[in-house]
Amino acid sequence: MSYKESNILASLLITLAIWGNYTWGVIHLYQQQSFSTEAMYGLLFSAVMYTIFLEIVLQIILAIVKHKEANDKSDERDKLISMRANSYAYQILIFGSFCVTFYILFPVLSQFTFSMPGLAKEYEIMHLIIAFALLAEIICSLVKLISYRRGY
Amino acid sequence: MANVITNNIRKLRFEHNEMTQQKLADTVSVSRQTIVAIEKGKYSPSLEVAFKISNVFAQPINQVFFYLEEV
Repeated sequence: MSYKESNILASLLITLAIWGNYTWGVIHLYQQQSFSTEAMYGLLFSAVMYTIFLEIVLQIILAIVKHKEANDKSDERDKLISMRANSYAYQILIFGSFCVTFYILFPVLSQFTFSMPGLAKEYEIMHLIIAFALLAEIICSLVKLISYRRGY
Repeated sequence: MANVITNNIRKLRFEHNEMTQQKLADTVSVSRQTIVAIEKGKYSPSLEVAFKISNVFAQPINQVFFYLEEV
């Protein structure tokens, strides 16, 4: 597996692990009825800090293990694959922005979605945005991995 | 109907003092992975890179890359 593939795969796993943990934490807080703004900020802050820290560690480890490829510049194939992956992610973000807009415009929709009674609507919207951003990031990474593996 | 671009870069590399993929990659300013993908037919390079590769082997482009129309 090349440096770029390893980088994408490891970043994807870090994203899944940290934001999966964040989702689990939010659900756990809600089930225990101990949901508070401070607790949620704590979870969010730790998720962001862990992401930054683990990404730095990952880059250092990969640069040591695959030092020959670490300084390679992106070539035309990398740019094409990146553009392809970003176009998929962009479509998901656009879809997400429509969903959030409809969620705000039509409060009746909250009956049919993941609405958590007692949780302020702005936090539901925030989590909806995070969910779509996360989905876009995951799809972006998966498209890159598939493109590198199967060819483009 | 699928159109396929194939090449004989691998053969040409061996005919040129067993040139390594890395050497060719450095010469045409792409990564070794891109040369691997081109050789396997998983990636069709831009015209610029195709011409650069042809120039490395001092061959016309149609002696390095082949366009096949599968029916």
